[in-house]
Amino acid sequence: MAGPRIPTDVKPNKFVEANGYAREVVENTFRFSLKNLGKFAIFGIAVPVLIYKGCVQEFHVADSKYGRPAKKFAMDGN
Amino acid sequence: MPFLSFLLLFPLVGALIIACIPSWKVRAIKIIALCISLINFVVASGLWIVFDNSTAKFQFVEHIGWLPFFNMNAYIGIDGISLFFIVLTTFLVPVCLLVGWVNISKHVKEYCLAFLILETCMLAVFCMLDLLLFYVFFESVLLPMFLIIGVWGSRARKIRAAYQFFLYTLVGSVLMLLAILLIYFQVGTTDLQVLLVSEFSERRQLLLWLAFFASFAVKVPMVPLHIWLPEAHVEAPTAGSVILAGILLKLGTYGFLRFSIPLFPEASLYFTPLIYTMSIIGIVYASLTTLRQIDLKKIIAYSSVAHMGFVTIGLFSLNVQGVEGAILLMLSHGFVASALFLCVGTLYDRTHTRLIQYYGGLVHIMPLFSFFFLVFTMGNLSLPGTSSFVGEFLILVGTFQTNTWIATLAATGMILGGAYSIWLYNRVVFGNLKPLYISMGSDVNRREFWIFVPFVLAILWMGFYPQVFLDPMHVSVSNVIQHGAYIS
Repeated sequence: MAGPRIPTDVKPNKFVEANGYAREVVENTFRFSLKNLGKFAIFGIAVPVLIYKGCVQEFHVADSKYGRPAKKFAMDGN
Repeated sequence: MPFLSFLLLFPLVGALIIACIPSWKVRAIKIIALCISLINFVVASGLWIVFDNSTAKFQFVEHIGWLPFFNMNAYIGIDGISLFFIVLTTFLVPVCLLVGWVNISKHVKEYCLAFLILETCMLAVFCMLDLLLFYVFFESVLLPMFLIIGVWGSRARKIRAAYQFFLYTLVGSVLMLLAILLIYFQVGTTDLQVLLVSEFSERRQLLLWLAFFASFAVKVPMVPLHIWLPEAHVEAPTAGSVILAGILLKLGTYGFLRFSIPLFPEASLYFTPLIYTMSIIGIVYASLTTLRQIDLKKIIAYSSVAHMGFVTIGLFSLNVQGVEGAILLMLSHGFVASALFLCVGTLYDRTHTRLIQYYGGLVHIMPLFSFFFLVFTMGNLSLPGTSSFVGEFLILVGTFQTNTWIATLAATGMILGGAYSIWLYNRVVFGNLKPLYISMGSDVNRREFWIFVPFVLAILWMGFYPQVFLDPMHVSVSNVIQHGAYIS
């Protein structure tokens, strides 16, 4: 603990700095492409829809199991 | 004794005193600000001691006529839900002042003023029992925080981050203001205690719930409304990150628990799958994103998004275990994430970089730091015996009762949490030193040591004996659940 404060500023490496900067300014480097859109369709739409449907399904199964009227949920087709 | 008025006004009085002191008397300003925040913490701890655990009623209630002709009055009071947020707020503000003790060298007076005013605003949010005044203080938090990021931030992008933070949260809140107006014109008051016994039609509930959701979801933040958070954390000074992670993120989840769930029970049930889905996406995607980050602050920021996903799942499990777990996880996250940001701040003070590639083998030169960092990392990955474990476990128990599918998916978050936390610790602390980049370093100094110690104690205390925290909140949480008739 304690001890003198030794100034130990990092000695920057230009490749590390360039990599860090490139990752930071994504708004400048990002380009729309078919590959991006495909990923968006899968991870931005398909996966959330799958989770949502599974969740609603589970609620309905529980309702019918315990003899309760089926609950209404947002964007539920039933 | 008007405890709450004292808590709210004392930092403001302190701010007034500091405003009268010349700017060059830096030491006097710092000491006064610290003493005021410490006294506030002692008073808040006193509230916890005299708090009556056996009632769900609001306690220490005070009433100030604000706009009596319009039936708007400032009611302040606390229950078992808000009690710990008040203690947490008053705990973190002196820490923030201590963090900037040496490092903040420009505009010290304004720095202390900003934190004292921010403390009043945050405490007011947790005490306010009037919807409109809640909104006023909910928004007023933005201003000092905007200044903290913009003035004392570390890099060129700080102005952009400050604007992003301000605009995201403000845009979300505009809808909430409209919803409050709608409530006012229907009920004739914005007093929470009156609103709790008022009924809204199902259609109106859905509308109001969505408007409140727009505001709270940005503040939490829930994916995909989280973009402002990593940016704000990276650019904010260490103390700013501590307050952001420790308190500001909790304002959104507190809003859900205080207003959305009890006031709009049917809408809360109707939108539960939506909340669950957004939370699961938040947990899994944010955890995976955390693995990819190279900036230390961004790693903790994204892990915060994942943890807050757990909290929202717990809140909307709409049972006692889930909600109590959510509150406990919020408190735990307030300690753990804040402490991790303090650790990053400690490293940044020495090296002036947060890029993880430069670090390695710190245990050789900073053994004490490595110990503290280990405890906080274990807290972050919810190791049994730490505070986060109790919260996450209760959330999973509560969620499992309502939806096993969601509980199963949420549990993956614990595994991913372990992965990114241990990997982070491994890269920073173990391995060989990198003298090519970082030559020498000093271990934590006395000030840093005494800042870290209370966090370690709090994390272990909550982990080993959580009952002390669960007892005061139990009746209030049960009351919220019963009020919404969520027990089926």
